[in-house]
Parts: sequence; structure tokens; C-alpha cells
Amino acid sequence: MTSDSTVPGAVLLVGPTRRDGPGARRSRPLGTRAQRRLLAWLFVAPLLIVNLLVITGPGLASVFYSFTDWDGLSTPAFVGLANYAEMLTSSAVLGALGHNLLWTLFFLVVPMSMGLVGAFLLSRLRRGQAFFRVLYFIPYVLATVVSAAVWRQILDPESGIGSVVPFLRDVNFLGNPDLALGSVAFVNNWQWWGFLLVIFLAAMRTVEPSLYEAARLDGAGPVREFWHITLPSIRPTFIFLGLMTVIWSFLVFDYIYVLTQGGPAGSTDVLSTVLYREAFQNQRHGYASAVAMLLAAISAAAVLGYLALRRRLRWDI
Amino acid sequence: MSTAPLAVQTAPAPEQGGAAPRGSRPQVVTWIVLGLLGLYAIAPLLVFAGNALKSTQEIDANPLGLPQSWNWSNFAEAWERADMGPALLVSLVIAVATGLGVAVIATTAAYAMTRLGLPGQGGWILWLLVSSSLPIQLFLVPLVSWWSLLGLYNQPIGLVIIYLAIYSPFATLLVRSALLSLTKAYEEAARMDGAGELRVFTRIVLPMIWPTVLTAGLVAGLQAYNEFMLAVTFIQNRDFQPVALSLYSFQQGFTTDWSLVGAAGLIMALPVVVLFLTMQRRFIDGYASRGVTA
Amino acid sequence: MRITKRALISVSFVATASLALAGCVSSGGGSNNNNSDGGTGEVTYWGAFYAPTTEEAFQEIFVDGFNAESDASVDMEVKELTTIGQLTDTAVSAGQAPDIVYSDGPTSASDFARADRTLPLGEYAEQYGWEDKFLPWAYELSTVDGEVSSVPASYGSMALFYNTEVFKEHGWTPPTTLAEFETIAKEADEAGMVPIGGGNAGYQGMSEWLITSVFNAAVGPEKLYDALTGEASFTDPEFVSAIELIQSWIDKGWLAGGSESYFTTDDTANVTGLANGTTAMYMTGTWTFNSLGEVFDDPSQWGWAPLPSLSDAVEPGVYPLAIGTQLSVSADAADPAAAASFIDYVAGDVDRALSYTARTGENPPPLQMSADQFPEDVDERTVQLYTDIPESTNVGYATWTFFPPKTNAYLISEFDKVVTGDATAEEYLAGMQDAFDKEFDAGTTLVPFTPSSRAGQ
Repeated sequence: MTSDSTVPGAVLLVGPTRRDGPGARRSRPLGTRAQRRLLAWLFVAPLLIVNLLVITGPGLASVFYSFTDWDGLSTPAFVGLANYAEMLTSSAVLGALGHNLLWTLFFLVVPMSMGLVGAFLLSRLRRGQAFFRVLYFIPYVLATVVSAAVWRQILDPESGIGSVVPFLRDVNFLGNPDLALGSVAFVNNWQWWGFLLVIFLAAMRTVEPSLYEAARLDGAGPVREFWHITLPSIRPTFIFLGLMTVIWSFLVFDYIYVLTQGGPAGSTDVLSTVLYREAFQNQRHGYASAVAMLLAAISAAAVLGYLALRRRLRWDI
Repeated sequence: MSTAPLAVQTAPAPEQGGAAPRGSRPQVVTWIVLGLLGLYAIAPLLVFAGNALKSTQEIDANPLGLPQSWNWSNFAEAWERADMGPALLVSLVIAVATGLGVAVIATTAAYAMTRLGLPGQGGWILWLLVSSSLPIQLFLVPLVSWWSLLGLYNQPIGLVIIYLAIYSPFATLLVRSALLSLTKAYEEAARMDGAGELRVFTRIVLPMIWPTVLTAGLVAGLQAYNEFMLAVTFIQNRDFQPVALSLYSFQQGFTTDWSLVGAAGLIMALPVVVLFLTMQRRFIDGYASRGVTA
Repeated sequence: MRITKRALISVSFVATASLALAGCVSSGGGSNNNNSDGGTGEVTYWGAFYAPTTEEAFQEIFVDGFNAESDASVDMEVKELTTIGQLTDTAVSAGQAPDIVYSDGPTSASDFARADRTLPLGEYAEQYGWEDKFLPWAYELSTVDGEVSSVPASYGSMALFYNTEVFKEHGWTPPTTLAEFETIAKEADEAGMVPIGGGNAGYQGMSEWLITSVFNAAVGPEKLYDALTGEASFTDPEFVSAIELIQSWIDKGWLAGGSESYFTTDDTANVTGLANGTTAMYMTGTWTFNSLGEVFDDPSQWGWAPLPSLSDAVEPGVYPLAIGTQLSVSADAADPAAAASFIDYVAGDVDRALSYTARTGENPPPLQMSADQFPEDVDERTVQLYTDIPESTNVGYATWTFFPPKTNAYLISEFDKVVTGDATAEEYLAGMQDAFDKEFDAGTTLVPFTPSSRAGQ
């Protein structure tokens, strides 16, 4: 452990090593190192405090509860690994896990590409950029319950889109178990992709214009510019949002709960709707805590998997 | 190491409009794709606006078409029935406090992680990501009892602290990624000139990552503004209830008066849209202009 | 140390500044009605209401009335019907319950009592004479281990709702047997209507309204009593054919228009369907009384009839009894006596309760009452119901009132699979029996009243 901050191996998402020559590090006066360390802790303290209080603390309590049978009212009774054993053999949990995986796949592909392509095209506009940006972002601004209500009316089999578009007649988007999950994902995507676009757009603004100019001199078209300049340049943001997408996809709750409550017959159940039902309808807080541990384990695995991959591929980000 | 070219690279001039190449005309394909995406975004919004003007019965019979009679009174009724005025005020305060708080917490933490030599880099990130993967619903019971011990239950500030905690991990990582892709040349130069750490942070670094900080704060504030589950659990006092709860005031037994929900939803979205419209210039221009003058 | 000092100042500044705005709100006016430090005589109550007019009536008749007459004072916070259950659960678990704890039926009230989160009310029951005031079956449900622990504040039943004009047009009369019921359903289907209302969109619990109706009308109270006391099994043929009856309605597209639309039809759509003449019959709870008046252009057009018999084993006209609201006193209440006196004020006085019913259409508490006690402005259809039920010997069991909680949760969530055809009636009922067995062994089942046919034995 040498001196300070950006030891490349320890940097997860973005390594600035390319722009940040090794020479820069040496110029720092050694005497301030302890002060810097103190300042570092002070700077991170607010995050640490609120997180410990609100998330990590109760999270650790949940680790304990996950080994108990607890209805939320009486004293928890220790049951060892029984909750985990039940969870990993429960068809409801396994089915929900499968839906989470499908959901993750959908959200890694559809909104990410829409956001990327939209942001790229928008970044090349000289006029009208602000207009589109606002337009795309407005769905994100609406409260879930409101946009879900609108979509429920649009997807209504009697009076919704089916009554206007002939080939969608008699399609019951939310009532058909084969279509329900896809329909909810479609609705959630409507609200979500504009958010990704805005973040991608902000990242694309940091791409050096000279790179594009150089590419253009080489005769590159927009497609090549996108693949060879834009995408590599915003890779930190891209990977970061990809990782967050995985984590959020396992946490998804709002739209599913408002639109289908996990139905029909569990066809839109995901881990968090199962957890919610177990905790608040069946009063099984211990079991629900075990499901929460599964969520935490999945995201830890995603993060660690990424770290390993990054090391193997020698990515500098 | 030369610093001047880097400054240009990371700070495109505002009039350039981002990476837009000079002299290249946006192609037809671009406009078609953007238009289709726009249609996808706006069509449901029109349905939404239309429904805010219909009666419940009409929504049931004719949800997609134009309203037959324009019930502007829906807005007045929603406003009055849910007592939206004070609720909006509470929500705005909560959202602003959350946005500001998250921006500060995330920026200082990300700065500590990337610039101040905070030990244990990978561990911080693992911790942040895993803690943003925990379902907060499960923590309602312990949080309510702790919060009442601390005197934070039934207080907007208690709600804000929870929002700060749950929205700051994402914001921290977002700001962190911006800091990592930012050159250190300026800071080094300033330190060589004898500037203190705080001065480097506030005068040099902060202006350059301003758009990201704004985005992080805006997103957190927005999420706090629309949040329902925690608000309904932690605020029992009617005087302090945020506006997101108003949307649930139009239940008729087990179902809902969707026309009033639509009207209330529109009222609720309006301040945010206006805010975004006014802010977005700042958060696009900010980077460029400040970056250059830094 | 220059940097550190400035850093300290700066950090404490940002930390406080980030919270200052919210602090402004929390310090700005407003009484602190955190119940733990309220003085004596202060009672906090969370209410949830069907409509704003209902809330207004409750506030005036009960809250304002009580506050004017009593030394104690009640402070009511209004919640939503769809969230009050979970809110109360969370608050009770966290020890932050309001003084008067709301439950949507005796099951969760008895859970709270068993965990000592609510107080035994024996002394108040004696003081206010609750045992004589309330109907015996409801009083018995309110006891845990022999002592009163909660008070029923509203009760109702299931009935068959229809549009009198539509029935007249088609020459139908309210069905009393399965054959009559299915004849009407068939004709309604041919006429392009949805023959039998139903669905679970927006509120999954709607499924148990249907199951309650069919269990009581096809399986019958006696068999249900046996199953609830462990003497019979839910896997018995009577239950199987009841569920298969529902499946046949789904297969024919009668119930809610078929399997898929079951999941996208909500309560409003059914009630609106009755009013528009697009839905022929809807078996639902008597709490629907006050929404029908609002949805029908001509409120005199809606009608209700007792449930038909849906098998040979059951007499027509069974009334499944249901408690909609159950009130208890929080263990943390600052002034339990004041809380109990408010509960008695709300639920224990026939005239006051009926004036509320007259004004709102809300179901009254299960008090001993007679037809002449109803004020004149109570809808005659309501009077009919509440004078019929006490006279009837054919009364049954609503699932949310008499079934233990996990069995009841299973009954609702797994019913989806019956609708989609993913589970057979046998599979569905076997799971229900499993859930019931566990609760029965744990001793958390409730005591159902003895069916009147056996009461004399």
C-alpha cells in the first residue's frame, strides 16, 4: 500500500490511468497526507452515517431474522437454515427468480439501447435537442401510480389499444399469463429509458470533439463513430448503468405491484413481490428476510463477477 | 505534462452543442428515429392529459379518445379534495432537502474515494452496491421503532434522512464515475500553487463535475417527490403529508377515481416539469462554461 | 491544522445544511400528536373511509360528538382503505400504533391480542355491557382465550346484486337455485352480457368474495363449520365440486367474461357493468350498498337478493356473516379507558350507529337491533338486509372473518391458478388444507359459531 487514492487495481468502475500520468502523483507534499486522510473520512462520514442507520443496520438485523421464524409481533424463534431451505426449493421463489432474470435481460437490452441510440442521435443535433430531451424525460417525472393507471387504460382489453388497432383486438396484455410480464416490462421501459438517455447524453458531452473530427477525416460514418468513439469513451457510464440495471432489475417492485400484483397466477411475480407478500400478507418476516438475503447475494455476486471479469480482461475501467 | 489541451478536451465550448459535428446536417433517419421515440414517449402522456379532463364513466367507456366534455373542474376538485396546496409545499421542501442533501453527501463521499486517499476502494463500492440492492420494505418495522426513539417518526426530517440514505449510493457512484474520468491536471496545478484541499475541491473540481452533481441531486429529489411507501409509513400527521399521498385520496372503496388521480397527477408533475425545463440549460451549459473558466 | 479545521467547519456545514430545510418544516407549527407522550384523555384513531362524505359523517357523528360529550378527546387521522391494514400492522409491530387499533376483521385483531400488542378489554366489556349489546356470534369472535380483546364495528354479508330494469326486460327473477342461476347466466351470455361479475384487478382479495359466496351457497354452513373445526377436510368432495363449479363458469366465459379478463376486471367495472346492463349478476359484499347508489343513474334500479343455493345440499338464501372492522385498544395507549369509551361510542349504540348508516350506507355494527330502530331515512334495502339476517337460521361464514390468516392468504393468492387452469380443484384445496392444518395445530384458528341447525343439540 503506497500512498493514496487512485491505485488502479482498486478502482472499480473507471480508471483514469490513461489521462492521469504517474508523474502527477509525486508532486504532492508528504506532510499533508494525514490531514488528507482525516479529510477523507470527514467527507465520507455523512454517507456512512445515514447508510449505517437506515440500510446497513436494519440489513444486519435482517441477517439475524433470516434464521428465525418471526411474525413481526412475537419473539423471533431460531430455526437455523429452514427459511433458506424452504426458499431454495419454493417454486414461487424460483419462478420469481426466473422472471427477474428475464427482466434483467430485457432491461439490459431494450432501454439501454434506446437510451444509447437516442442520446447519440440527440448529441448530434444542433437544434431541438432540448425539446426532445425534455419530451423523453417527462415520463420519468411522473409518479408510478399515475403512469401505471394510464397504461392500464391503454392496455385494457375492452376499451384500450385493442379497440383501435385491429390486430390487437382481444389481446389481454395484463390478463394473459404469457403476455403479462412483457407488458409490464414494456410499461416500465416507457418510464425508464428517458432517464438512461439523459445520463448517457451527459456522459457523451465529455467526449472530446477532436476525436470525432479525426474520425471524420478518416471518412467514418455515424455508425462507425458510435462504435469506435462514442461507446468506448462513455464506457465508465455504460458499465456503471449496466451494473445498476442488474441490481435494480432484481429489486423491481412498483410497476409490477401496481399493474398486476404479481398475477395472473404468479406470472409476473418477482423476488420483491414474493418478499412483500410473505412479509405483509403472510406475516412471515423471517422468511422474507431470507429472500432479502438472496437479493443481496445476487447483487454481491454481480459486483464480484464484474470485478473478476475486469481483472481478467485487463480493462482499465 | 501539458494541461492546456486537456482543458479543451473535457470542456467543449457551449455554442458547439455537444459533440455535434460542425457542418454535418442531421439526416432524415435521425429525425425519424427521434420522432418515433418522441411518439412513444408522448402518446401515453396525451392519454393521461385527456383522462384528467374526463369523467370516471367516460374513462371507462372511452379511455383513448378525446374528452367529450372538458371537465376542467376535475383539477379544482382534486386540488380541494386532497388538500394539495400544503401537500405540494411539504413535498417540495422534502424533495429539495433530499436533492441538496444527496448532492452534498454523494459529492463529498465520491471525492473522498477518488481524490483523498480513502482506503479500501473496492470494499466501498461493494458495500454501496449491495446496500442499494436491499429491499427497503423489509426495514419498515425496525426503522419505525428506531425513528420514534430518535424522535424522527412523524417528522419530515426523519423521512428526508431515510431518502438521503437510500438515494445516495447511486448518486455517489454516479459522481464517482464523473470524477474518475476527470483529469487531475488542474488539481495538481492548483496544489502546486499552494491551494488547500478544500479550495481545490470547491473551486477546481466541483465546477467541472457540476452537471453530474446536478443530475444526481435532481434524480434523488425527483424520486423523493414521487415516493409513496415510506412517506405513508413515516408521516401520520396530516399537516406534513407529502403530495404523493394525495394520489391515493381518490379511492372509492377498493377502487379509484382515475379522472381525479389524473388531474392530481398532472398538478403534481407540473412543478417538476417546470423545474426541469429551467434547470436543464444550467445542467447542460454548466459544464462547458465553468470548465473553461476554471 | 488549517485544512482540518476548515474541513470540519465545512463538513458540519454541509451536514446541517442538507437537513436544515426539512428542519424548517418539522419545527413549523403543528401539534405533536405522537401518542406516547399524549396526556390522559387524548385518544388517537386511524380511520379509513369509502368516500369523503363517509369520512365527514364519521367525523361529525362520532368524533365531534364524542369530543363534545366526553372529557376525553379523539384525534382522527385519515388513511386509505387499501393501505390502512398494512400501515397498522407496521405501526403495531414497531410499537407505534394509534391508541385505537384498526383491523379488517377478527383474525388480525386476535393476532395482536395474542402478541399482547392490544389490551384485554374484559373490564370495559362489563362496564359497557357489550355481551348483551352485540350479537353472540360476533361477540364470541372478539374473544381470545375467553376474554374480549376487540370490538366489532361493522358487519355485513354477501348477496347477489342485479339491475331490476334489466331483469324485468329479460323476464328474469332473482334466482334461488343453481338451475335458475345458470339459466339466467346462459341467457345473459347469449344476450352478449357478462353473466357473472367477478375479477381481481387492483385488489387481489376480491377473489375471496367469490369464494365466500360459492363455499357458503354450494358447500353450506354446516360443512364449512366442520372444516373450520377440524372435523372435515377442504379436500372433501363438496369443496371440490364447489371449486369445479367456478371453473365451469370460467370455461364457459361466464365469470368476468373469462379467464384472462378475470385479471383485468376490477370492482368498479363490475358495479358499472350492473348499472349499464352489461353485467347481469354480481355476487359481492353488502358494503357495495353505498357505491351502487353513486354509480346507478337511477339509484332505485339496483336490487339485491340473498344468495341462491348452488347445490342440493344447501337451502337458498344463505347469509355468510362477515365483520368488516374490528377495533381494539393498543397496549401503549396513554388512556385505555378513554379509548374504550370511544369504541363503545362508535360501535355500542344502536341509534347512533344507525344514524351513521342512514347517512352513509355503511354497514352497521353487529348489535342487537330491531327493524323499528332504523331511522326512516335508511334505505329500505339496507333495512331489509339487517332485519333478515338476525331472523335467518341459514347463516354462514365469510372467509376473511372466520378463516385463519395464512389459510385465508393462501385461498386468495393461489386462486389465480384455478382461474388460469394451472391448478385443479383438488390441488388448490389440498394446499388450503395444508395451510389450515398448520394453523389449527398451532391453535390460531378462530371459534366459529355453531350452525343454527345444530344449536339446539
